[in-house]
Amino acid sequence: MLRRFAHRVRALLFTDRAERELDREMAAHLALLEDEYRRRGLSDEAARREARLALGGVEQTKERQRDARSFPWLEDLRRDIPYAVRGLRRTLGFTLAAILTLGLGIGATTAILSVVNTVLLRPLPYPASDRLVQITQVVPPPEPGKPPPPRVITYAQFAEWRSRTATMEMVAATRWDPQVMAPTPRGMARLSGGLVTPEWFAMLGTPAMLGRTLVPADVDEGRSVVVLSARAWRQYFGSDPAALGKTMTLSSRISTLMSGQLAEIVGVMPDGFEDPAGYFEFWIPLAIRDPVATRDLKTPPANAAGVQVFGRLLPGIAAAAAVEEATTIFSAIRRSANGPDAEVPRRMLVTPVKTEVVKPVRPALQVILWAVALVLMIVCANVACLLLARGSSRQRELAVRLAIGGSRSRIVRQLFTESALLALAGGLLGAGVGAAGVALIRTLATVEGQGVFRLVFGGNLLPRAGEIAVDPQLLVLAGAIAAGASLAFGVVPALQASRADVRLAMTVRTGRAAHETRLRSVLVVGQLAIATTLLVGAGLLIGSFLRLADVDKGYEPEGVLAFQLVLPEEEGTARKAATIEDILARLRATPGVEAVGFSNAGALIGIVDRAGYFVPPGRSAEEMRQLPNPPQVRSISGGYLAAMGIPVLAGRAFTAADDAAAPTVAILNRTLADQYFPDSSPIGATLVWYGGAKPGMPPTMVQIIGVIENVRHGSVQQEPTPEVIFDYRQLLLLRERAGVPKRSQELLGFGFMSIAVRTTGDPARLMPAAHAAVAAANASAGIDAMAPLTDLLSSSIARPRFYAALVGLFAAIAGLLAAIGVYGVLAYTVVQRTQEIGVRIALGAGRADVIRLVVRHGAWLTLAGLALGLAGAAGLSRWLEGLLFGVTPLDPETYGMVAVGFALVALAAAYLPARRAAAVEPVAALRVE
Amino acid sequence: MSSRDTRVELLQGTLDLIILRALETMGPQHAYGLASRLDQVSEHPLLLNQGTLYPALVRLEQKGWIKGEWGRTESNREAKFYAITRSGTRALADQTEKWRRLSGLVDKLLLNEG
Repeated sequence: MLRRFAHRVRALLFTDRAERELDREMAAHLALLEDEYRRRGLSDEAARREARLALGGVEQTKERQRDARSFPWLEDLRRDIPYAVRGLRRTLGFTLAAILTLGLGIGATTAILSVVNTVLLRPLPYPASDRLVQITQVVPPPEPGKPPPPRVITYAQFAEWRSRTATMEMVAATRWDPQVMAPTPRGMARLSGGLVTPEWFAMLGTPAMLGRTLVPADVDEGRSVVVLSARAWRQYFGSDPAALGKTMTLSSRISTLMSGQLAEIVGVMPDGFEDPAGYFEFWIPLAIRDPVATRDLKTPPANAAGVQVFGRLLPGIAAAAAVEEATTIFSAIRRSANGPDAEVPRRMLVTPVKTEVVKPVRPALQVILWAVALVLMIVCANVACLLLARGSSRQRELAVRLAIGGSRSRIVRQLFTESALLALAGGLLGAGVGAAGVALIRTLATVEGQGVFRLVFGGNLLPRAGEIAVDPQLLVLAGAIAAGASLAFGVVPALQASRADVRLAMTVRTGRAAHETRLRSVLVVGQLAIATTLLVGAGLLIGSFLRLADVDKGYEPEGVLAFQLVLPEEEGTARKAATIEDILARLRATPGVEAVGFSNAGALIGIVDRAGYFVPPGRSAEEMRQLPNPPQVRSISGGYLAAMGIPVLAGRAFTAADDAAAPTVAILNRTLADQYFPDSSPIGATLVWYGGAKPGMPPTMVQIIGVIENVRHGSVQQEPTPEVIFDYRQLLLLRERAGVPKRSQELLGFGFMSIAVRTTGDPARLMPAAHAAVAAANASAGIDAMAPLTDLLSSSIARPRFYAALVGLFAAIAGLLAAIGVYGVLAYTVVQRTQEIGVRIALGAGRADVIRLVVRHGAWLTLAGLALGLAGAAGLSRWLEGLLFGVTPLDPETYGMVAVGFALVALAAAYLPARRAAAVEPVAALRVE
Repeated sequence: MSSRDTRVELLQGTLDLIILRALETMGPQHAYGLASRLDQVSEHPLLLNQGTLYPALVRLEQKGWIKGEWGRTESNREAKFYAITRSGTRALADQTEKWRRLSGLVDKLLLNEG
């Protein structure tokens, strides 16, 4: 059997040789037969005829031999394919429309399904990740007159729960800190990271790329060790393997858990490792016998620092049982601690970690998933329409083939081949579209934000963005659905034709029941409506994005290099100021640099600092104190306005002379100047600043020397707030005199130590010089998030860009499909009405009349679809309000543009079949009867 | 249609058996020779279209039971001569035995029922 199979395969592969052999053998056979008949006395002619009869027909014999020789269906396919290709090429418009429909549908579906599958469905890349849970508590609303209930689970509570739980296989606690300072070989680093119990690494199961992860022995033996993220290792240790074994000092600004802790680097995690507990650049052991933990026990839970609690359920334990147990245990713990909330019942929650990870995007992805299902349905309807149109226009051809003896199965197979070819081409296009779509979504969802901007921009727009890839299984699935539709609708008309009585089929008028046409029209109107709604939504989002990208920010980002300086906390204020001045001077001396400046919070950091309140002339201190939002206080160096390109509207900028010894001066932004001095020039006027640490301290007199343009400093979206701007040297002194703590003085005066450098050329080329200037000024200074300001701006509007692009793509696909739908229906109608059109032309209708006839039909469909779609958009677009910028949900311009643009596209789609109708030859059309 | 009544319908697989048997007894034959021989034996000139042989020949050759080689006829025409192979001979014995058993059984059944 196997041997025969091998022979058949060989025959298939070497068809030509087998064919030649067969020809030769057949010729020999016929020659012998003819010899025989001639011998019996027949003429040459008659002998040849008889020989062929005796053989039973040369072609039939060959066919039979071929069937036995190889796989007959494959052989047929070989001959059907070129035939099908010819057929498809004859109706190029139809073919392209069908392939485009299938490709876009399959591609879009595959891309979105791949994203949804990776983000929502596929298990997290950790062992037994389906049993990985986070334990949180439901915080009841505060009772009136009482302090709000504590929101956190304390470390002590966690430790107690850990010793009592019987539902967990493994438990872990983590504690994240956004700003931890650490000196590194590349200067001071500002890191996000924190403490985790070593079990956390066992639960995540990811081995270290270099060295090791944390182990329980680290806690048991009280080792002070740290594991770094690949990014931190690259950036601050230059990917040096010798970093292992070195020590680093970690000091947190906000937490006592890391106060100058000296830790040995024992490992580096691999790239792409994402800690589901937060953005960690380093991990140090959270010890159960840590003195801090003991202290936690004595602290009232309201003030105690919290931990995030995780666990891995024992196999077979239901989440409900864990909830029950956690509620019981935590209630008991609170009662025994006898804290203020001892008797408040508190429900615990046990949530799968995956649910927590995907929580922010789940609703959006589910909506998109439905949209994709809709698109796939449109695709199937479209393909059905197109194929039915084609099928009915070929019914006569099929009938003729049947009449002259074509086998039915053969004809069905022929049509099947055509449909399969379409599906295959559509599938290939779909694979390409899908791969491109996935790549696009990945790029759009990835936000480049390092250092402080990692926290401001919030990282990638999709969790697990790095894992997203085209899933071949889903491609096959989407392809199978679309192919199924095209095969079904490609072959059904053929089956109908082949079953029909031949004579009937030949004379059948192609006119069908009117309700079928109506159904198709409804389908197309629905498509047009959905596409219109989507296009309006996309138009609004894209319009918002363009306005965002183009908004007047009040500064000129082009040519600016921005970075944050990180200085050791323990260096004094004077030393820090000297370092800053040194760096500014060095940068100013660098060739190509136009201006250099410093601010406590550079563009896009989004920190608002307020300190006390200001009283302009003619207003009372009491009145100003009660205003809800006192102006923001900003600290800059003299060159900052020039470096950022912020226009000075009146008066002057700070100069080197405005130092700590000079009279106190300030600059207002336009909003504040208008607010405080609506009728007069503020230049030269005096503000009284009540900014002391304690009430009753004498206020400061501040002379106004300038007014600057409003700046959207915090973010592009944010409206500018009223601002009072000080020279940082004066501000530091003022805060010291006001009696605020050293730390607060520096927080306002230095802040994030953002430096802006304006160059004549490409700001990225200035990076080495900036690094050198910092290193030369202070060997232990570090740099955080150095980037051209335009790059930062681009990252800061990644989210609106993501929405606009995604919805825009969908809308474009839906619009294109709807246009193809219009084309399909009208093409079908034209085929159906060929005779009618022929009669019209014969009776004297002009080509233009015929075109008008068909286009009018298309126009009605389009109008109906547009009207429905615009109404739908008007109803739905208010849901978009929160995402819009500078446009209202009912923006008439957007609606108008979509209506006009889409109407033109739809009418163009209607024009193609109309032209075909106009080309109908009346005589030929009438002969169809 | 009426001519069909006089034909003997060949049972599935019997043609293979007949060809093998013919080749065994007559030695190598070309397709035309085999067809003539079958006509002769069956005494029914319209037993089959001669072309019917070709699928069977391909099948047998692919199974390795016969082997085709080009040669010359007595009339000096070129033709492909098929000869039975050793495994063909074995298969023939095997199939003949099976056929005998089957036809014996069918005979018996038909006689009894009749």
